Amino acid sequence: MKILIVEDEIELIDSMATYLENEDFICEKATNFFDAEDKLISFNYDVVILDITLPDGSGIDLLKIVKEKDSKVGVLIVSAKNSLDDKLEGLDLGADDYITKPFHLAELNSRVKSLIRRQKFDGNDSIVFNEIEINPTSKEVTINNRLIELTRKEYNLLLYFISNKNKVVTKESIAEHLWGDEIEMADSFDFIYTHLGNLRKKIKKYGANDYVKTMYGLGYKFSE
Amino acid sequence: MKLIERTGLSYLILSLIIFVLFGIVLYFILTAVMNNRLDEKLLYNKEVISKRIKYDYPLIIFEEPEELTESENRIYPTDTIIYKDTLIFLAIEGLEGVENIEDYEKYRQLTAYETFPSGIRYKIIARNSLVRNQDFISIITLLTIVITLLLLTGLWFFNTRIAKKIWNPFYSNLTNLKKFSVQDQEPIELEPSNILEFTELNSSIKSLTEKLSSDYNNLKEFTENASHEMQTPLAIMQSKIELLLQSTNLNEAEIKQLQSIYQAGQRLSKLNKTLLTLAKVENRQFSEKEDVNLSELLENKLEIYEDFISQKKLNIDKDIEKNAIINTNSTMVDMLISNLLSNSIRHNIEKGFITIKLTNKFFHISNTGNELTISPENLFNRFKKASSSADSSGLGLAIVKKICEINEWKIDYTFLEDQHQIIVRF
Repeated sequence: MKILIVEDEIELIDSMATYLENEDFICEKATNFFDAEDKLISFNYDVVILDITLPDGSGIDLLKIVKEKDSKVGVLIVSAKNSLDDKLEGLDLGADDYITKPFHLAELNSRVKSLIRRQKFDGNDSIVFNEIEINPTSKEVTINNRLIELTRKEYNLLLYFISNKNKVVTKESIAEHLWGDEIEMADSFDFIYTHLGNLRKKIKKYGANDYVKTMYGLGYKFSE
Repeated sequence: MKLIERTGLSYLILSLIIFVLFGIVLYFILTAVMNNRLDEKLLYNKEVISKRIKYDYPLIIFEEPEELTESENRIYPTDTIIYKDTLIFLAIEGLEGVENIEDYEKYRQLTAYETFPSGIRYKIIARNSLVRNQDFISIITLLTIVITLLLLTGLWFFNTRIAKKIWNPFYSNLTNLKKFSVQDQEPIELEPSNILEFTELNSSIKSLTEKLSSDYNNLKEFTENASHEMQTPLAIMQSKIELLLQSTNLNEAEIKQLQSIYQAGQRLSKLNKTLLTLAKVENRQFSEKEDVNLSELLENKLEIYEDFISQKKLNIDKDIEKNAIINTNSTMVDMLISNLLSNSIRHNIEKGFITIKLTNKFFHISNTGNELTISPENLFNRFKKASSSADSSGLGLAIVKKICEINEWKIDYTFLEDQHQIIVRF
């Protein structure tokens, strides 16, 4: 899977690339409009992560180039402006998703993966982690081929964990993923424990291993 | 009191005083002049009588009965002439069918004590009626009053009309100025006037409001730009920490420190986002209106916050009117409801209560909780926190207030029956 990251902040682009490369993506970087345009015309990418504000042009124009060339390429817009207009314009022009700075790398990763699933397999590809299998289209989860009933939050939590397997996922990032960023309740992450507790119990009941490890109150890691 | 009324009244009072004084002076002067003339005539009559007595002529030619009495009064030892006004009782016997006239009439009277060459002292009294003079003076007085009144009312009327015309631009500009809000972005419209002072006032107001608007805009833009500029460094910070967290050779103490940095960064980023939202609300970036179903919105929010509610074991008592629809901006009303609801949860006590009532006229939310440590007036100000908890930005209610201001909704806070009560009237 080839990803082009267009972002003018070198430090940020490095972080994004490092995280995604760890997930076995091939990442190319472009830090300005000219570079990005050049790369987009010369090569093919599966996903383009696009910053709207570039020093020498607008990401919106790049989006048009991408979509003209191959409308199947997944485009994720990254913007410092949390403005609805930008968001709507981007989505209208064919962008597939929109994320606002500052974002969690885990969130970015999960969005990219969901994009790829949607683009490549029309969502029909199931995600398999050992005995756990998730079908993103029907939102069904099976463990050892047995269907398991999960609440929406539990499902989202599991998908998020598996998208970011072997990574430390912070509580903040989970909270934002589950409840959206408008919820400002950093004081009580207790509710994550509740959902996580239920999820763990259910998974165990169906005979799967407990893959969730607590990282000193900072977050969790879903790994073997 | 209006300026016109004030000056008008001053002029009126001054004119009244002048006219009254003038009237009094006129009365005295006229009386003096007329008396003078009468006195001369009386003196002449007296002289005629004296002459007639002297030469022993008959006195019958005079219409008025001149009394001639030998004066035994020694009060006036020498020849004396005294003028004075006097009242004489007058009785005219009426003809048949006509009433008798009985009245006192005013006379000018001359009394002379004179010693004649014959050695006899006489008292001669000559009189002349003052009725005609009095009539004359009354007519003059009446005319003066009439002219004064006409002049004053005319002046008053004319002055008011002119003043109205001159001051009209001033008052309409004053209304415009009252309506002017620096947040409206619209330059103030001033009615021109050909009065120099008003023109100067207009140009001063114009430059003042322009300066005000540009300063305000600069400030607003600054907040928004600053918030935007902060997003990228924050994103870098956050991503670097997240990467660092992935490294496997960290010990617990290091992770704890990283966590502190990370959480501080999170707080900063949340704060920044909220500030940005506030700036956007203030910049009126949410202006598109539509019919919003508040009932559905509120139910959705309650569902989203369900985890938080059940975690605190809160009792919710809701009375939500079906399909309460108001025409407003959906983003703003969403923020309003979210903020108020999350506040009522966050500042609640374990196993507390939340009461919600919603109609298309008002939204009332009350919750149990500790009494405010700050004064209620400050509650809606930025960065005024009732609790010291770090997660509270102190901006939520500032946003709520701003939203209410923009939509011209009325918001009130009271602490009643151990409950924080907030009511928003749409």
